[in-house]
Amino acid sequence: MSQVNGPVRPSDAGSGESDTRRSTQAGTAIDKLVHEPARLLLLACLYVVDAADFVFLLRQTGLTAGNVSSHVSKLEEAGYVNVEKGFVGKRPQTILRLTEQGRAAVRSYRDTMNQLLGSLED
Amino acid sequence: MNAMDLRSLEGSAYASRWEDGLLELFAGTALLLVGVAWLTPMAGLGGVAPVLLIPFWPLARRAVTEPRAGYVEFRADRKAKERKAHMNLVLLGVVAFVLGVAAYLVVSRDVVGRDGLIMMLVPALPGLLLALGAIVTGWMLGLSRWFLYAASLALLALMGVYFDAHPGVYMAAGGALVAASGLTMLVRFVRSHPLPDKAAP
Repeated sequence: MSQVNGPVRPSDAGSGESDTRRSTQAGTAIDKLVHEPARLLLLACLYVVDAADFVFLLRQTGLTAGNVSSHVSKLEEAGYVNVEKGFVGKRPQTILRLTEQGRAAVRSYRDTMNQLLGSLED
Repeated sequence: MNAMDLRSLEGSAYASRWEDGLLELFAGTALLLVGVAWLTPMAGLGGVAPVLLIPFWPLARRAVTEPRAGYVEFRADRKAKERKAHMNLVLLGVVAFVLGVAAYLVVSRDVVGRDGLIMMLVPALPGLLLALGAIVTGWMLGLSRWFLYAASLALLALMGVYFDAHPGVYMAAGGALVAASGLTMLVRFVRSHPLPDKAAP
C-alpha cells in the first residue's frame, strides 16, 4: 500500500523562496495511491456519485476489467473504497462506494496539486 | 470516456443514463397509443395506456440497460434536482389540463367566433402542449435531442391543423417518430454495449 500523506500545511506566502519551499512540501505530500492516472480516474468517477457498480466504472473510464479490478483492490486495501458484493437476480453485482477517508484523500490530493501547480509560471 | 474531464464527469455520467433510448421508446409508444385510442370510440383508453407502460420501464432498464451500462446512484444534490424536474413535469401536466379545459370552454361557448386564429389553433393545442413537455424534459435532463422532438411535435400539430387532420393522427405520428428514434438508439446501445465477460473484481 502506498504511503498516504496528510494535508499540506499552508506555509508563509510572500517571497519566491517561500513559494518554492511550499511547492516542495506539496510535492512530497502527493498521495501516490491517488496520483496514479487510472486510479485517479476511478476515484474521480466515484467522487461525483454516491455509488456505482463495477460495470458502470468500466464504461465510464474505458479501462479493462482486469485493470479496474486490480486498482479497486488497492483502493479497498487502503480503505478508500467500500466494496459490496451481491446479486441482481442471477447476475453478480459489485457496488463500489468511496469511504469518507477516500473522499478526504481526493480532496487533499486536489488541494496539494493546486498548491503545487499554482506556483508554476506560464 | 477516456478524457480526464473532471468538471463534466458527473454530467456525462448522468447523461449516459439516457443513452439507451428507453425513455424515447416508452414516451413515444405512450403517445402513439394515446393518438390511436383517440381515433377510436374508446378514446378514454388512451389515458390508461401510458399508466400501464410505467411499470415496464424500470423492468426494461434492469434487464437491458444496467447489465450493459452499469448501475449508479447519484448524490443527494442530483436526486434533489431530479425530484424538482419531476415536480415541474407534474406542474406542466396541471397547466396542460387547465389549458385543455379553457380550450374546451372557448370552443363550446363560441367565445372567439368560428373563424378566429385561436379557433384555428385549438386542434393543435394537444400537440403544442406535448412539444412544451418535450422542451421541459430536454431542459431538465440536459438532453438536447428532446428539443428536436419538441420541434417535430409542434410541426406535426401545425401540419395537422393545416391539413385538417384529427389530433389523434398527428399525436400518433409524433409518437411513432419518437418511438422509432428510441428504438434506433436502443439497437445502437445494445450493439455498442455488449454484456461484459467479467462483472466483478
